[in-house]
Amino acid sequence: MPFYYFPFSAILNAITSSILGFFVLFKNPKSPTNRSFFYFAFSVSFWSYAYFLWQISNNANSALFWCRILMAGAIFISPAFLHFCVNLINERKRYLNAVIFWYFVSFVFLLLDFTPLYIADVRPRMIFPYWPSPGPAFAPFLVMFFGVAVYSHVLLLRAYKNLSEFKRNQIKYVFLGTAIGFLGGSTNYPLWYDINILPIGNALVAVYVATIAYAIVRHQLMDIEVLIKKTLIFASLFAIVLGIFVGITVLTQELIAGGRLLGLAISSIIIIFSVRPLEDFLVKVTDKYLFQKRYDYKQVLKSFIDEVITVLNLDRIVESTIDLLGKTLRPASSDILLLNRYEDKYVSYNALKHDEIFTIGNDAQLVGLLKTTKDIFSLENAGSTVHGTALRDTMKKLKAQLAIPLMLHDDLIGIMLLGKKKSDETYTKEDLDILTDLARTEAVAIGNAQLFAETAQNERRAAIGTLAAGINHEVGNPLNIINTKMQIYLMSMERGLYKDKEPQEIIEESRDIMKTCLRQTTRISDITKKLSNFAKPSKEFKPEVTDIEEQLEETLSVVGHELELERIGIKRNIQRPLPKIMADKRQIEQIFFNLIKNAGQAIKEKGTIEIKAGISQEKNGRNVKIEISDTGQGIPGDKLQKIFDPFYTTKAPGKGTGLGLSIVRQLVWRNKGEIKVQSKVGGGTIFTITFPEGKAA
Amino acid sequence: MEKTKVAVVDDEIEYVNDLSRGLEILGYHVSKAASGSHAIEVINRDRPDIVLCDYKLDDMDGTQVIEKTKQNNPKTIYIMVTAYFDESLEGAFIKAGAVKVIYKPIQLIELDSAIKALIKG
Repeated sequence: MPFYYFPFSAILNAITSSILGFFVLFKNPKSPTNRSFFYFAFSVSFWSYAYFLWQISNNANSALFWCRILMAGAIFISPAFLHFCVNLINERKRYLNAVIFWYFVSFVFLLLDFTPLYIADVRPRMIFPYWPSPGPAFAPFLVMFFGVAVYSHVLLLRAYKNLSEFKRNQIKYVFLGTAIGFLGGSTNYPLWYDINILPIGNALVAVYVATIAYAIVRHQLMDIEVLIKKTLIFASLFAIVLGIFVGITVLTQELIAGGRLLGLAISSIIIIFSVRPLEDFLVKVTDKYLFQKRYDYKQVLKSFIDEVITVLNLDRIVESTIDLLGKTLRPASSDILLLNRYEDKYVSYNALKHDEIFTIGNDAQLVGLLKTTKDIFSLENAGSTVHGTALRDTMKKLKAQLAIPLMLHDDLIGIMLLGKKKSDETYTKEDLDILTDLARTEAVAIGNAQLFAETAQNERRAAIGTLAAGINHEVGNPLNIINTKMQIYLMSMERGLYKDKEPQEIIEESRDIMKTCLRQTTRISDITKKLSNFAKPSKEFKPEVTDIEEQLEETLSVVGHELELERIGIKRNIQRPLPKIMADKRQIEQIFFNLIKNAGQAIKEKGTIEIKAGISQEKNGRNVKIEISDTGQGIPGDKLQKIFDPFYTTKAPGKGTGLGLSIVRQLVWRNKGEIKVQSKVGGGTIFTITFPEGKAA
Repeated sequence: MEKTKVAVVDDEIEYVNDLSRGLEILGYHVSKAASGSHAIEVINRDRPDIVLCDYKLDDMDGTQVIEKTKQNNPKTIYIMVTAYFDESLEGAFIKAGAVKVIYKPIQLIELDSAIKALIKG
């Protein structure tokens, strides 16, 4: 091992640590994590600079002095690292006392540092002329150094389980880098105790700098990505330019006597012409290899565009879009405003982590502009006219750098707002192209989801209509009978019809009227009980032990009447006893309600709906199998495949919303069941549902 | 003066009986029918002055009863009875030939004066 390896590794550690430390600090001096990292990096670089000066000392006195200085840095490395770790895992408060305690102990060691208690003297060991010898206080220091370092790493490991994927990645690199760094640095200690091992690991200290820098760029550790990126590019550029300059100057000097000026001229020309392309090249290379995640974002956005179109839930569309934009383009803020047609305003959708709700009126200048250009508006293009100033004010109020119109059939249904990029970079042409694509799909997806919500609402209204008709009939008929009976009784009395009658006769008649009224009121209360039970909104999924037959009868008591009116007979074929299932009763009723109503609608003139229920043995055990078949016109094969799709309907326009069966299937799945359909044109349709037998949990 | 003849048509037989009894007390001559086809038979046979017909019958709609009997009984006045309030239905009733729509529950006294007004007018 050449001797100059040691001073060289020291200076490498010193420079890299101090650069990284200061970067992190300047990027965000207010962040405790950044500050504590600086203390750590500063301790390491302080130690390394002094290490370098100690290595090049040429007498014992100076070597002892620099030794003491370097140890002043080394003393604080472990406690500062602990400090950084507790900040990184967000456990500042919990470990505050430990951090203060170890800093305090370090100060005690610092006071001892300039006494022989800590470093006794320096003497030659192996290839080193002035290696320090430990005083009695040095061993306790070593215990602290390793103890606290190991303890800090343990804290990182312990926290690892409970942290987000995002934070885990950061911790992984910090852990790896510092573990290697500490191990490498520790190779300095054996020689103190005359163990003949050279401090060969010294250069490994710089590994932590590299891994942490990597974690910063790849995993947004301490949020200083851009600075690192710019520095990296600048450093490489500088090195290359210097290389060219030195290389050519030296070469020309060697080859041509007095060629110094010529070399200077040649290298200057080369540098002038190569700097721009070189920089572009370096940006591309760093983007591709170090910032790969960001480089791939276009791919991510493209696949998102394909996916979002299939989502029918407005919340999910908006939330996932904002989430995705946050991860890929990393704007400081993002929001989606949707047109509220009643208030004629664009209102920010209740997005995640939103502290402010923005609105803009439909008459705002920005809205008018987006409607006419149908293109992304960037704050940079606002211009300085009066018009531009107003636009700029609106954008600033919305904290937006970009306003992206969501156009659906020439209608501005919403506006996507993106703030400045966190990286301070501007949006590139490529970004804007992808955002335009995204906006186009987003608009369709949002439009679909809104339509879906609206039709689901209509579906609910239709169900309420059926219920209302049921109530009207089931409750209205008995009420009419009671009402008429009473009218007749009173009328007869008023007209003196009872005058000539025997008391016994009048009593008999009164008793008949009372009996009828009682019978009819019982009929009313029965049906209202059933109806209210049926109409109860199912807020959440509540599985319980459910008797299929009971739910079937409940449903039939509501829809049965309507079917009878339409001259549709209902045939039951139920195998008893049926096993119970675990399901949400309300949802089971909804499934039957929709299927039976559908069966009824499939029957044009007279017909029969047959409901069979029995036990079937499936792979997963015993199942309850329900078949609902009709004698309707049947569904042809190509349409049969689509009947569970939302919006698909075989009914005449205006007759069905096409959501019934897609909802039915969702409900069946949610209750761990399966649904199948068979049909023959002219021969009717059979829906088969199976639910696994269930026991109370 | 001869009694006014009324035909009461409703698929709920108990209701037909009660309504008929009330109308009899009010001095009408009443024929009963408990289905659409039965009503057609009764109307053609008894030639009532007034037909009080429920809209939703088991075998057909009340409008069909009107359509199938109107030609043979040009002087008969049809009153449609329903429990469902629906403006578009009212139009359909009038178009089919009903002169009035009455909603359930029927108030006998009101019905009485309505019939009297229709007969006079």
